[in-house]
Amino acid sequence: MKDKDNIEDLLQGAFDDFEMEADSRVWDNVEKELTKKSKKIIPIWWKIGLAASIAGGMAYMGAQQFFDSNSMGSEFAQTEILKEVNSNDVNPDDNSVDASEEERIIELELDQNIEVATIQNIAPTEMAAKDESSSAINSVEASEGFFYAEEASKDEEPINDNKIETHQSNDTNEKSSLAFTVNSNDEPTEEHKNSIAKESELASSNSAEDKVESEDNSVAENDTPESLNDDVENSDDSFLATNNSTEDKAESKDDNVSENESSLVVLNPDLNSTVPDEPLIKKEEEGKWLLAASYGTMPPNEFASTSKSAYSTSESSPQRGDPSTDYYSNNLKSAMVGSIDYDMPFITGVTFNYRVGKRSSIESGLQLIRVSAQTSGSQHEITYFGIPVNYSYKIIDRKKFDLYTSGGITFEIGLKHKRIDNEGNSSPYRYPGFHTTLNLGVGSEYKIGNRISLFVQPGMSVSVLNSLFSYYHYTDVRAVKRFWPSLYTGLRFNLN
Amino acid sequence: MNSNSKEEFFMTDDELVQGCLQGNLFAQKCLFEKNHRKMLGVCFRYSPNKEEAQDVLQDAFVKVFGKMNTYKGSGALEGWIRRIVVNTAIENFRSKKNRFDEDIDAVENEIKSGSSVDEKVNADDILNFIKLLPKGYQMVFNLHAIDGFSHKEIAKQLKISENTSFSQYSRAKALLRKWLDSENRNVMRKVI
Repeated sequence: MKDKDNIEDLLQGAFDDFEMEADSRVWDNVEKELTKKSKKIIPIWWKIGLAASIAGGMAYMGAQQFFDSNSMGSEFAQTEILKEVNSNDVNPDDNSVDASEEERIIELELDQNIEVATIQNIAPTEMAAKDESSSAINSVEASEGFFYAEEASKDEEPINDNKIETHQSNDTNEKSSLAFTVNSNDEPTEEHKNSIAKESELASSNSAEDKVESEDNSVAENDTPESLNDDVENSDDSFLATNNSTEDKAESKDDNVSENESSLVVLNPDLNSTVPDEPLIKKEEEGKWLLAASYGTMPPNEFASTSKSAYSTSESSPQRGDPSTDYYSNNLKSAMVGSIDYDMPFITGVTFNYRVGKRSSIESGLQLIRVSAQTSGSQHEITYFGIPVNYSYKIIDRKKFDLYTSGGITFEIGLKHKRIDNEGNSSPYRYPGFHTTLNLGVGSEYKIGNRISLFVQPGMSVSVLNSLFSYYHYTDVRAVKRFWPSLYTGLRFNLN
Repeated sequence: MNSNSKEEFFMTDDELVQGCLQGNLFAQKCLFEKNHRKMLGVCFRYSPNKEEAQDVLQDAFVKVFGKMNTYKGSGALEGWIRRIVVNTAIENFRSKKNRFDEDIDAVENEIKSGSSVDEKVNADDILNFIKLLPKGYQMVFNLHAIDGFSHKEIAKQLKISENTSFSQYSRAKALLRKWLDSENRNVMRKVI
């Protein structure tokens, strides 16, 4: 009789050689899993490429929009400055302009010289055939196929016989874009002729209907669409080529697998070169519901602050916008005197994720969005209550790490719009309005515990509808800049 | 399935591991062939029937191939595979939401108490008697008495307290001792 406390030893020894034969289906199923996993490698990389392309495209569009917006702001400012110049410095009763404006015109003419000189280089024979007095005019006409004039301020009424307008679109002092129009009832002077012939710096005409038109680099830009189309076609071809090569790889991979099956040679050297398989470990079953606490922001502070020189409002006579009128055209009409410093917007929220598929989930919840801005006389704070609705898809689904894309829309209702004056007095301001944002991002999620994971999600946000679009108090920076880079980070909790 | 049973053992464990790491399906199949019988025995101890045991075995081997890059080669390959198989069996047990408070009075009343265990017990008898234990008892007994898990490890894996693990094991052992007694064994065989 064995001692009853030795039952563990008795049992352990009894199972040392205990074996059972498995059905053939077990290996078949294992093999299916292994093959399925290895075939998934290619689609995953395609998806990563697609997501990266979308994110890159959005970033490029956002950056372009950002810088375009900046230059537009300067353009507005320049327009207003020139309007002031026109109204203050040019005497309607006198055909002359003051000394400072003359200096400015000379500067512009010098820039113009470069272009007219270029025209002469293009059509020298035609120019030589004409008499001296009309050589410059003909040279310009000969170049019409290459240069297109841009009339600045078509809607403006002529101020006097000599109408001089400049339209400067760049955001710095550089005068890269210039339209210059001179209307005169006077005969061209000898001085003009000389200056055209010798310096080729100014075109003139005999009547008010004659126009000398010149243009800048926009001609080159007009040519670009065709070349761009070519590029697109080329890129399509390369895309197809890449696609084909990837399919070829997939087929060759399948061939390797079938070779493996038929081979009885131990460790066939050919098979040693097979690409290492991705980890096949199944991820621990995830719950249907996830709770996420997130903090998001838009651009870095300095990124937002750059807008202060570009966007400004009229402190003296704020115009209430007509919602039916276009924002940009309204902007042209408004005087721009003051400036606004924008703070970095931030977003906090709690959202729930519900898994609708193995890789896809829908997210919704509540967010609190705050934007603020300082004008020269006050500070504005707007708080929105937002409801995001996002769809996300896991591109990479690992045990510890996920990569996903997320896209959706956030509806925001303004909770309050507070104005704080320089003395610190706070008062409610106008109706805070609403805001709608489209979001697209690529996020990564790292599991830091059994039920907790940390996520970081950079992306782009596009403001599609904002009640402040129609006002001139640009207290919500998102009403001014439509495209924003965004960054969300936070924790997700598995609720199951 | 046994068609390659001769060739497969020409490969050492190291060669099998290297082949599996390179995604070589033949090496993977060899590794499966070499180990699946013993591992199915392990799965069977933790499962109510062979069908479910085979499902556990399948999941376990998919994990084995997926985790092969974590095998350091310091211990025996079989022991490393066995650990994964047992962990998979535990996960399967937890996923079935088995309870630890099943009533065993019906079985217990059939046998006499105070008897002793005969030396001549075989694995089939023991296995059959283990399967008569309530699910929670089975799991704790298998893990502690056969696979060598400590009560602390069992408590962590099954998400129960150490005391629960210990008491369940004691009761399981007492029951098995009764059932394995030579006088009771024939009675138990009828029950089985």
